[in-house]
Amino acid sequence: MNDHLSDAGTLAAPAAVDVPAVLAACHGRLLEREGIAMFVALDDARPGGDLRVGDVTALSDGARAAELLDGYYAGLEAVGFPAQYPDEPDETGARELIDALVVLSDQHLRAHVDGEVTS
Amino acid sequence: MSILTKDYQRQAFADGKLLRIVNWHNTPESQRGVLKAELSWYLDHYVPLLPEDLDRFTDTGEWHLPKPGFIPVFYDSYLNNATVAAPVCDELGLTAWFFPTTAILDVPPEEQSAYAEKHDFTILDEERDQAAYAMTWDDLAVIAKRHVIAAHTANHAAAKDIVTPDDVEREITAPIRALTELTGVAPAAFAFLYGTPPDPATPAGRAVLDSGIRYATTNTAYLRIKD
Repeated sequence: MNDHLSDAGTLAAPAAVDVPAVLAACHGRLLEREGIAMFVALDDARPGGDLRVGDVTALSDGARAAELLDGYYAGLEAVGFPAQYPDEPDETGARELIDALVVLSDQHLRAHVDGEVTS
Repeated sequence: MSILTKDYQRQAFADGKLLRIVNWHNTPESQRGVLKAELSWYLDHYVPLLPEDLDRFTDTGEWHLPKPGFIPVFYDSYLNNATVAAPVCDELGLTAWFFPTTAILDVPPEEQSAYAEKHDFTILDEERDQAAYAMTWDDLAVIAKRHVIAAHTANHAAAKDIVTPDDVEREITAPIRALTELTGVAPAAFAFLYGTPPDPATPAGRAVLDSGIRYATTNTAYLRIKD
């Protein structure tokens, strides 16, 4: 989905254009036996907790991830958030968000070693 | 704001509260080379994170690491996590996090197939001929010497199915106690099936929040819940 191989699997990679196609590719992978890369939040949920991040790299990476998440969420929203198993109930309570994170993580975190290894 | 909303997630990222994780379930022998290549790729780009690193970040807002961090995670007590994933991680000098479901560790091999059918434990076609599909407590003890152990209920239970005091004891309290006895330390994190966040208004959520465990692991966040 991007041709910038040196940046593949990082936040520096350009945003994917065909967002539904990326999600469809993720749905088609054998996730039971593959690593599922995911960007998630890391937060302080202790009573009275208030995490304030000063780490420059974390702030820069987070800003880029937020920008990309906006685009991928909108890209899926535009096609009605196609479900992998439309007849099954959503047990997560956040299917649309998770699908947008799946696209984000597939494009900007998942290891890119395709074609380099035979097993 | 619920953590299960796009607005929360976006704001958390924009505020620098971003974590990279990679979740595995089955790690069959046929994928050993792929797993090693992928973990090597991650190691080239990121630093494996320990619970202490998350503690420091959530206390100070600073990572203090030479590269961004990531957490390699292996779920559900698959035997191939003990025979493939852990050895590959050891070979690479990488510390991973393991979230075992504990009940299957006591299920005799000849009963594991039937157990798997009822508890979302996937037996791969390529492993159907194996004598056993799950690791043992002894396997987990070996893994615990070099890796982080977290809790994932006894029977791969969803939060919504943990209702009574007996449910809480069986799926939350007892697994945490057993893993603590095995490793000498409380599990670093707890995750329900389906990655549900712990809701303090439910028996299951309240039990996790009161368990003394430091992190609640959900589909969309790692939440520091205890000092």
